[in-house]
Amino acid sequence: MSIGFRAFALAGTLLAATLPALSGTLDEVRKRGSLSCGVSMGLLGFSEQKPDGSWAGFDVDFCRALAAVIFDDPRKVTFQPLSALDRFDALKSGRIDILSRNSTWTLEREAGLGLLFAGVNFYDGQGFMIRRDNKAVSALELNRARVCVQAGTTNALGASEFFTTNSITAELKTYPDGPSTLRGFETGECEVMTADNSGLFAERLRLARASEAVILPDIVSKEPLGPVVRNDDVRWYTLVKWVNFALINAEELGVTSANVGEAKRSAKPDVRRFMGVDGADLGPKLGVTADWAARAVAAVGNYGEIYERNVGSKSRLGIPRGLNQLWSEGGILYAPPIR
Amino acid sequence: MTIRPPSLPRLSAFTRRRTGLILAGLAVMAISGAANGRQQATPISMDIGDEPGRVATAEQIVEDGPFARQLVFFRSAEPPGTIVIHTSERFLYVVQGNNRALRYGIGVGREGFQWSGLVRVSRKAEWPDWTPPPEMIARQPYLPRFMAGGPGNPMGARALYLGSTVYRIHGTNQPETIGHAVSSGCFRLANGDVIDLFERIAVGAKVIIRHGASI
Amino acid sequence: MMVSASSASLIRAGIPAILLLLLGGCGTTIDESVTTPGALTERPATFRNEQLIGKWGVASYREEKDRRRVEAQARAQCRLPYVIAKGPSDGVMMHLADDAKLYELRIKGGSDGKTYLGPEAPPGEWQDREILSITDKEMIMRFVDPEVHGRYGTFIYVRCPG
Repeated sequence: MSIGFRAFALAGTLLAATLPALSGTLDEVRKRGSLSCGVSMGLLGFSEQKPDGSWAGFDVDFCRALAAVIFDDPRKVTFQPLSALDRFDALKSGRIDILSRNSTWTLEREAGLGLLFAGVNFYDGQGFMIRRDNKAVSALELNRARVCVQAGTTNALGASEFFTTNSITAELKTYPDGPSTLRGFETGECEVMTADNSGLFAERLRLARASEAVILPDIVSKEPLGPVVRNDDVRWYTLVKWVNFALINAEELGVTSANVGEAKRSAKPDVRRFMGVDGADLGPKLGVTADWAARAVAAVGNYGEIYERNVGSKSRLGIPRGLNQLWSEGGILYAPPIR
Repeated sequence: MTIRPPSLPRLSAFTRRRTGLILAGLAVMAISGAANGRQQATPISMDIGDEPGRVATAEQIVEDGPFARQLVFFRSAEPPGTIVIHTSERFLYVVQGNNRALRYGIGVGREGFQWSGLVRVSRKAEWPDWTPPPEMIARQPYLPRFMAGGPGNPMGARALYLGSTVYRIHGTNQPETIGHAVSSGCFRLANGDVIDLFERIAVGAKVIIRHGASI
Repeated sequence: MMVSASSASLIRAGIPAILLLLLGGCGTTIDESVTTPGALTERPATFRNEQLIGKWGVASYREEKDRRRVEAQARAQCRLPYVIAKGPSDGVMMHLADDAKLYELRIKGGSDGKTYLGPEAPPGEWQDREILSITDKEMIMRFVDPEVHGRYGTFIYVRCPG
């Protein structure tokens, strides 16, 4: 009896440890030999297709990191450019394994569409652009300003709500699309232009004299962006989520694409665990190898490197880290520890 | 007049002849106190040495791009007026309170990576004098052993001295090095920017120097 | 005529010459800084090469108000002296601007009445220094090239004891 019970328990343990979820996404990706990644159809700094057909950008690099974790090869990704309308259907129908496309995490998208956001990798939000000669240093100083905003966006509502809440009298001027909104600002029909912060930095580059416009540090709305997966494969969701955490943790630990080789010999326990030198069972628990996190960093760098290269100080956009700085360095990025 | 760093109005003859100066530009200041601070290898350096006497006008600022002076979101528990230097990012922040800071692009020299921690501004100087360290004289024996402060001085238009250390925040006659790890100096700003900083910061202000984690 | 000539030389000389103009504060500075290279013929010099030989404390300045202070600094720099030795052809071994190699230089009198120090070439060449004064204890010189002079300022050499 006791023997029988132990045998049963043993079988149960084995089952839990070795059996993959039925038709798991990770196994399908492995069988296919490449990751299918949904990106936007072209968004400066986030996903851009180069003349030679290759893809680059912040959202692109996340999929490359995931491919590196799975295949030890960041090139094993098929990018699928998707419109805002098609993106969630493409994910639901299984055409893509992951959506890495500046999508805001909301309740409706998780509970209503049956999706899961695997964390946040870019905190965006509504911001304000003014002319340099305007001495305002805060959005609270925009009283009596004329504000250009694109019609039909959440930004029109957001601006209206922000001004009402703060007893600011401002005139909202709406325009049918992005270019006409920018033109309104450039020609002086407005003193202020409002849009999501990342969008303002991209739009500013289109101005004849970009240096004459200043983007205020205020972020007045929540637009948390992150990778999205289906909600029927928790194992895949967990892997994607921890790849995001790993990139952030790498920056916090000081592991970079330049030093990832020597990091294996680090004496620091948290670096050794990150590299899979200690706690070598952590990667296999996610369904990947012990050096999974090191592979991601070797392929695309840590979070800070990815940010600066694509949208930060080494890119044309030059978006300050702001909210997307580590929690310990002035921002709010906070990844649970790898242990 | 303001210019963008990559397009200096005039590159000196010296720039053309600056071969072999990478190591020569060793130190505007000697290294001390390194044993107590966290060490970090200097990131990839700009292949450039000090160019004593290279003239940059006092008005030069970083006019555009990420290293231009700008207000940014910055969560901090430090009081307004505190300077926070992130060497690996190449930014210097002046805390403004209300989750914001004024951010300046900086160049960081090898000496700037030797020490991290909290100090206070102990002294401020306009157009500081410059004494090239002996290592530099050995490589560039034609240098004067002392150069009175002025537009051609590698120390630039202003200097903020940090505590009793040999470290300082100073200007530069090479504004195109902002945003890079340069081979010498501590924390350098374009002259126009260091003048702006100088006006905002009082003697006694807190200065926090951070390097980012090392493996 | 005078106006157009001097503005042309300012453009050629660039910022350093403008600086000289500002710092010098008098008209003669411009004339001195725009010596046309190679236009002079050599005259007997008032100083001798041997006067330069020895150990010197070296410092530089740009503004006259700094001169006294810098003189004292030059004296203090005898800890790390600049050593001038006799050359093989009766010249002196010294550096040119921005070049770590030693060259044999000699003193040359110019037809403009000034004294120059430089390699074998007509007096007043771009690589030359102009010697403003030499005594047993101190010498003052500056580079002829206005761009180089603009960067380095005027050099004071104070003879080190012993």
